Amino acid sequence: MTAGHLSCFETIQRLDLYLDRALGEDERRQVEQHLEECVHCAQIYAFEGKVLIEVREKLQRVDVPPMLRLQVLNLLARERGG
Amino acid sequence: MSGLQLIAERHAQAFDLGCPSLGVDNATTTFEALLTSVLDTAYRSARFLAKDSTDAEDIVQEASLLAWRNFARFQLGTNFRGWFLRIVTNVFYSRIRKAKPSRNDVSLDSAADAGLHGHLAAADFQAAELDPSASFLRRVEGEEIADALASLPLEFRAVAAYYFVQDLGYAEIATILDIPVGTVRSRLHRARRLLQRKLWDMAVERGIVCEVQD
Repeated sequence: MTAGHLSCFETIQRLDLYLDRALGEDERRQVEQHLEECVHCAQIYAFEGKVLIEVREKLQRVDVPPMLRLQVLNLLARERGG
Repeated sequence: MSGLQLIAERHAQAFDLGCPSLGVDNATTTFEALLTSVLDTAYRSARFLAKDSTDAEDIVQEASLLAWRNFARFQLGTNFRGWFLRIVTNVFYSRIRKAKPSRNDVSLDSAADAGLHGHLAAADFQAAELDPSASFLRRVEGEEIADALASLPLEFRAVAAYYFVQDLGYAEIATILDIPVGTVRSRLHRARRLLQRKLWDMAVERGIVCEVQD
């Protein structure tokens, strides 16, 4: 590896932070440069990104009990009444 | 911001200033508007923290009561969601402290696993599929992902619940859980690997993929 260029290992190490837009400007550029040049790491990046989106999307479908809101409001009303 | 949220925000500001003409009725209106706007979010987080829907409901109800009792301490105009989720988290931790401690069922070493991508590649899933992540996840139901998330060891589950379910940033998760941002980062990294490992195991169990033997 040369200064300013990341190896595959170093890129994969930074992938989570890159996905979360939590890298500093310099490191972000270095990761992007590597992803443009390395098909293997670019595949892993695309894969991880899709997994993240799909997992989030599917977890949002977990049902909230329909009576929860009413139960909470009743509880608060009893608290104020008491 | 919706009309209801706007009204709530205005009431909230007046309540914060101690405006005597508004009284407790407006405090009630304000609180209930703020609370109901975050109730689904709170339930989903509690569902993954507690692993169980009944426990999650109890946690949200207890947190709602505590939040109301402490509403005067909430700095109006600031982040109600973060404030309330912190109460939800504290209620959860308080309940598990009273319960018998459970042993982590996942070795922390496995957090260093290669991840789902590596497993799929090793199983030659990629060769047969144009888009392995989409093909794989299409066959895994939301409830199964929820169960996999809920089965993570507690320290990873708490971070993952807020990250995957609520899409919160590192700083907000750190505030809610009262841990440093660096700890959020490292736990999240491990949580991701563990979650992928669990999804992989689930897929092998269900015959979605075949494990490659060394």
